[in-house]
Amino acid sequence: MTTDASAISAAAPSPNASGGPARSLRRSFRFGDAMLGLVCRGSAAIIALMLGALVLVLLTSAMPAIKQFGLGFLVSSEWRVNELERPLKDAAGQVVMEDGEIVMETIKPAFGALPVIYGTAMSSLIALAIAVPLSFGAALFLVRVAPTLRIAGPLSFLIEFLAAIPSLAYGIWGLFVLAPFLQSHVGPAIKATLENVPGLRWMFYESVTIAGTVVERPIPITGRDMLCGSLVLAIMILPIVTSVSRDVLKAVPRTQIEGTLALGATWWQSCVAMLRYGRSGLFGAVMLGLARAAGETMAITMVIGNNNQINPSPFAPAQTMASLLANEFAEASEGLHQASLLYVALVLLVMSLLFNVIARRLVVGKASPAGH
Amino acid sequence: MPASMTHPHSHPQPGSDSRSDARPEARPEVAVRAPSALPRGGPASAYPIIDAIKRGETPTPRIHDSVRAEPVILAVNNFQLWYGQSKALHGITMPVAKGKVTALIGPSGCGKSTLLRSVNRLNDLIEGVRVEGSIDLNGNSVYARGVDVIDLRKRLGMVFQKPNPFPMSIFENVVYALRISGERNKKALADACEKALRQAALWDEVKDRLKASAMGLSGGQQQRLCIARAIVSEPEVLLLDEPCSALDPIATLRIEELIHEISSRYTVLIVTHNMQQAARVSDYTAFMYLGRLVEYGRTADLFQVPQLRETEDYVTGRFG
Ligand SMILES: Nc1ncnc2c1ncn2[C@@H]1O[C@H](COP(=O)(O)OP(=O)(O)O)[C@@H](O)[C@H]1O
Ligand SMILES: [Mg+2]
Repeated sequence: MTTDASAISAAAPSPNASGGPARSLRRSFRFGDAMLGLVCRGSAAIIALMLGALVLVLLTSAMPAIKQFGLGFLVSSEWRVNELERPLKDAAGQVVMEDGEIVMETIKPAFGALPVIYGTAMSSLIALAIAVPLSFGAALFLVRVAPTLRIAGPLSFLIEFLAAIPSLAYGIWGLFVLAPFLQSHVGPAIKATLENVPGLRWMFYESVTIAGTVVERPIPITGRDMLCGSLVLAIMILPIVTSVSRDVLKAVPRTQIEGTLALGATWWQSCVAMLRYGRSGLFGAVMLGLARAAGETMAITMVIGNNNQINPSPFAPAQTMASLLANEFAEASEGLHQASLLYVALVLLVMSLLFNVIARRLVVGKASPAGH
Repeated sequence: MPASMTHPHSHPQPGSDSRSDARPEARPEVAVRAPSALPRGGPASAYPIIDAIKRGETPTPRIHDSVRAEPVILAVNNFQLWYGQSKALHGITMPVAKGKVTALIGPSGCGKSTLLRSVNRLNDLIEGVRVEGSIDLNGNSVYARGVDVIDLRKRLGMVFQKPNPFPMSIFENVVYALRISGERNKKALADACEKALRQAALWDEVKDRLKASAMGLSGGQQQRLCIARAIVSEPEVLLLDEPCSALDPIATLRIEELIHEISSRYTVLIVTHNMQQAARVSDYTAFMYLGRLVEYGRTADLFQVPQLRETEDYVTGRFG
C-alpha cells in the first residue's frame, strides 16, 4: 500500500514541480482585502478615539474644579452646593456683634469627593465580600457537580440571563421588596442582637452636634442604606463573577484535578487546588465584579439613601460616585458644581478603567500559570 | 523499530555514577528478539486469539507459571469496565507481583490506562463508568462497598503521562500528600521532602531552591518531581501511566534509571507503548489487546520466548 501511494505521487506531476514555470511569490494587490483592512483599522481607531474623546471632554469640563481643588478634592468631605451665611465667631468662639447686629460671614461653595469615594469603595467591597464566595461556590458547582447531574446547561443559561437583566429591574426590586424587608425584619433583628455588644455601638448610633452640644442619637433604620445598596450590588455582580470564574475553572487541566485526587485529596481539597490553579483568573473575575459594582448607577441610586456623608454604620444612608452624579447632575448649575461632578465622573472613569485593565491582564494575559 | 537493542546500563549515562549502586538486582539482559524465521501465514489465520478477540470473544489469557510463583500485591480478578455502553475491559485476571516492576503493553486504546486508573479508582470520576469483578490490594478489596476511596488512594501513588506539577513551590508539591492528610510538623515535612526527592534523584538539583515554583523546572525534572510527590507517603503500589511519553530521550533514560532504583522499595505498575522501555525497566510484562489480557509473563520470556505468535509479532513490531 505504501509503495502504491509513493508510486502515484511520484508519477503525478505536481503543479510546483521544478519543470514548470516558477510562480511569483510577490504579493499581489487585492482591492477587497485592502478595503476590509481599512474598515477594520478604522473601526479599531474609532474605539480608541471614543475613549480618548471621553477622557478629553471630562478633563476639560472638570478643569475649573481641578484647578480650584487639585488632588485635595479626593480627600475633602465638604459638599456645599450653595453659598452659606453664618454668624462670624471670634477666636474664643463668641459670636461677633457690631452695632447690636450679628456679623455674618459667607462661606463659598466647596466640593470634595471623599464621601462618595468612601461610599463607592465600601459598598463595592461589601458587595464583593458577599458575592465572591457565592460566585466561586456556584462556579465550582457548575464545573464539578452540574455536568454529572446534566443541569450545567440550563444553569449556565440562567446565570447569563441574570447578567442581562437591566439594572433598573434590580433597583425596583431593591426599593420595593428588599428595602422594606430590611427595614421591618433584618435591621431590627440585627439591632436587637448586636446593639448591646460592646464595640458595636457605632453601628446603631451616631453623634451629631446640635446647637453646640454633641448628642448621640439612634440611626433610623429606613432600609435604604449602605447595607441595602451593597446587597443589591452583590446580587448584580453575582452573574458576571460566576460566569467568568466558571470559565476560569473549566480551563483547569484535568490532570491537575486528577493529580490531587490520586494523592488522596478529598473532593473539597481538590476544589481548593482548582481555585489555587486558577487564582489569577479568579482575581480577574473579582476585578471585573468590582468594576461593575463601582460603576453601577441606577439600582444603587434607588436604594442607598443618597446622603453625602461618611458614616461607618451599614444602616446609615450613603452616596456613591455614580449615585451622586445621577442625583445632582440634572440640576447642577454650570460652573463649579458641574465641574466638580465631572471631576467625580473622571475619577470614576479612571478607577473603572484601572480595574478593567487589571482584570483583563489577569484573565486573558495569564490564563495559565504553566506559562510562568 | 530497531530489531534489537542493548541495555541502557551498558552505556555511560549522564549522572549514572551516583546511582548505579542502588540497583536492587541485576536484571537479565533483555533484547527484543529479531523477527524469527517462522513462516508467516495469511493475516486471518496466523492470529487465532486476535481473531477471536475481534469477534468479541474473551479467550483465556496465557499467564506464565513464573507469574503465579510470585507473591501477589495486587490481584485483578475477572475485572470488567464499561464507559457507558462501550466495554473497555473484558474479564481481566492478572496478579501483580509484589516488589517487582510490571509493564502493561499493547496498542493504543487497548485499555492500559483504564486498567491502571481502575486500581486507584480514578475512573469513578468519569460519568457512566461501571465495573464488575474485583481488584484486591494486599488482600483488601478495592471495589467493595464501604471502601474509603480517599484512604485507598493514599496507599497508591500515580504519575501521569504529562508532568502535572501543582502551581506552588517544589517543597509544597512534594509534601502535598502529607499536608492534605493533616501533617503540620515542619521537621517531619522537611525530612519526608528530602527523602522523597533523594529517592526520585532530584534532590541535588533542587535542594537550593525548594521554595521556588515547580513550574520553573524542566519537563524531566517536573516528572521526577511528580514521582517524588507520589512516593512521599510510601505507597504500596506506584502506578505510572506512560511517564516518559512527553519527555526527551535523555530525560526518559533518567526516569527509567529512577524506576530501576525505586523498584527496590516499591511495587511498580507501568503502562508504556514503547516496547524497548518495557524490556528495559520491567520484571514482568503483560500484553493487552482490545481490553483483553493476551499474554503475561516474565519480561525476558515474553520478549524472547513468547508462547503466542500474537505476542511475538507484536513485540517485534510486525503487528499492532
Ligand atoms: N473517558 C472515557 N470515556 C469513554 N471512553 C473512554 C474514556 N477513556 C478511554 N475510553 C476508551 O476506552 C478504551 C481504552 O482506552 P485507554 O485505557 O485510554 O487505552 P490505552 O491507555 O491503552 O491507550 C479506548 O477505546 C478509549 O476510547
Ligand atoms: Mg493510555
